[in-house]
Amino acid sequence: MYILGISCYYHDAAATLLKDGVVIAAAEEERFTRKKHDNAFPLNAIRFCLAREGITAKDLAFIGFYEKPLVKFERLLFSCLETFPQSFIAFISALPSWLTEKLRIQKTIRKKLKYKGDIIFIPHHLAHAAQFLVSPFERAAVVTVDGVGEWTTTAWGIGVGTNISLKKEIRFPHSLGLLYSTITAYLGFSVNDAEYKVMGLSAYGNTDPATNEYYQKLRRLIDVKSDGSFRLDMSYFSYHYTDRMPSKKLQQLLGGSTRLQDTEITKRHQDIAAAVQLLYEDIFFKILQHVQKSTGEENLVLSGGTIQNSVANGKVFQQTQFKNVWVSSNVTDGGTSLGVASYIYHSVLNNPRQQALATAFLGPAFSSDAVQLFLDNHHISYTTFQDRQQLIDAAVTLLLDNQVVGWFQGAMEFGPRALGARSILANPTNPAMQEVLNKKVKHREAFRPFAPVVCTEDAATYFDVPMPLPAAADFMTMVFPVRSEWRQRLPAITHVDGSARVQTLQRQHQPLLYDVIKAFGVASGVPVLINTSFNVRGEPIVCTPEDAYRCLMGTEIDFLVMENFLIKRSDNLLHS
Amino acid sequence: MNSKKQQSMSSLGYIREAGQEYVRLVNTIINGMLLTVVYVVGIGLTAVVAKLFGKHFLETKIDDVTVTYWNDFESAVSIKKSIYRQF
Repeated sequence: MYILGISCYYHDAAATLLKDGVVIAAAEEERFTRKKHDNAFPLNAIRFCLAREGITAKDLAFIGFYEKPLVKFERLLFSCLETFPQSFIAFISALPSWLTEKLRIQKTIRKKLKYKGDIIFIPHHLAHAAQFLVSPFERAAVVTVDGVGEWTTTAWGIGVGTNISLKKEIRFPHSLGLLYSTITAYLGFSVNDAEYKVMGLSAYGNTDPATNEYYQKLRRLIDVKSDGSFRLDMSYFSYHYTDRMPSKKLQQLLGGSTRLQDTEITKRHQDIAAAVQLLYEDIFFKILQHVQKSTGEENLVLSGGTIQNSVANGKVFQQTQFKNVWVSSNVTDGGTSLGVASYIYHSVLNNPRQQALATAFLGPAFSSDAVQLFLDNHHISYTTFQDRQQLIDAAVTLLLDNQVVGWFQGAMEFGPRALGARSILANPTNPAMQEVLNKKVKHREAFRPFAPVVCTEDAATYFDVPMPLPAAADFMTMVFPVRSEWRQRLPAITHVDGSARVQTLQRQHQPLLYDVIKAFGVASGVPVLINTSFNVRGEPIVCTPEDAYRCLMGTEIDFLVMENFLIKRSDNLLHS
Repeated sequence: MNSKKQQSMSSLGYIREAGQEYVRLVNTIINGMLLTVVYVVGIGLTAVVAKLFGKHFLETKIDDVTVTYWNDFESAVSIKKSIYRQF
């Protein structure tokens, strides 16, 4: 039985295909259209999913959609009614897309896919919560934190076997995600995209709540009860009636207008970033403590866009009584395509659960033959590795020589992080490597750290990780301290506060990269590599050999290891 | 000959593009006017009447008395009954 899950029309449109409950394929639309966070109907992602199995839409038993569109539309109308006449612009700009596509999703699905079967709609937060069904737990507390779904912004409940029951919710306009996004906008970063920059910046600010004046100010924005439930003082916000997020009152409170993009980041901005991170963590842990107490569960599943806050995720073990935590590779709206498909198979049809989803490598893959055909057709100069060991030796030599290496192997990741299939690898022991990567490839803000990848069994040696290691660490969803004795040896991945967003790697998931890390460890004394996403600023992660080659030639990445081939940028400069 | 043909093709292309742009512009203006009427009459009148009767569409008040802001989520049974609906 095939089930297709779809999410679209907000951000991060995606599709996921299940076969008898097993995830066969999943991908975000942005990777195909090359538009970051593309929210369009994910026709390319769907085509990829169906082609992976060689089926058509006629073979699908169900299609699931990640939200209830009419309920969301109701929220839009109610917001406009409540805030009349300030909502005029929001109404005029939002309504056309609702009338032409969002309310016609059923028709769109049937027309574009030529599909006549059943279409199922489930609440947005349930689609997030349904990631429990692919978690390693038989039972768990489930917490979802998001910008907003239909009405829900935060929810919690329990998952047992194939059942998920969300018990409580916080409703729009009160939203932790939108609070964080508002400050993101205030700090001059793009909303629904660059919240992680605020998280990275927060480590540079004053992280003492007693002395951070902005923390005290931001406390005025929100009323938090002892059980973690909260309401925002909406006079400080304007997102419920316009697309400009910080209100004038908030700008006055924070002592200045919104920072313009690409202008200088001052200590004040750093302190504000620290303040919002502190505030988020305060409330987040209060919620988790309440949920733990109410459910008595030891296991926790976290989902929703706001759960990309990996700094907070990494502290769950210290701040709550939960013993095990699961965060999947894709907690964004893209991941809800997986959630709704799993919900249909397990919760609606009552089919038993399969093994936990242990890998994020669910996207398009290209064989060595396909890559070679591409290289030959485009007259690209390359070297073919004679065997696996030669590839490993070459990669390690390049990395030790402080070369920046594009790494394109196997199926693309599903989710926002590059986990070793579409990555850029570099030497973390080189103090200059952060600057080198920024200059050559990423062109991103200097304050943002690069993430490390380490083999699972070595993680505790270099990082202060909880044991047993949470499976979620495989997906780079948690930040942990770098052990103090290793911070000087790993300067390029150690953030200013001594932390790192660690990815742990099991050999079974990426044997080639695993062996490269091990060999690098033998040669350098530290089996850790920088693993950053294979893209340039403002673009989605590469998907195809063509994307990878274009990224190589459009930046100053030195080498590209693509399947069984080594491409040297300087040998192909005529192409750039 | 070829160059003349190319020139006329590119002129046709330009005219077609300009025409499409014009249609888009007219579309946007008419849509904007219609939506303005809908907003003023539909949303505006309803909002004014609702305000007269003290009706709120969003719960925005901070409540110092209540001990919790958690609301009940729709029951799992009710969700399963409505899976084929968009609401």
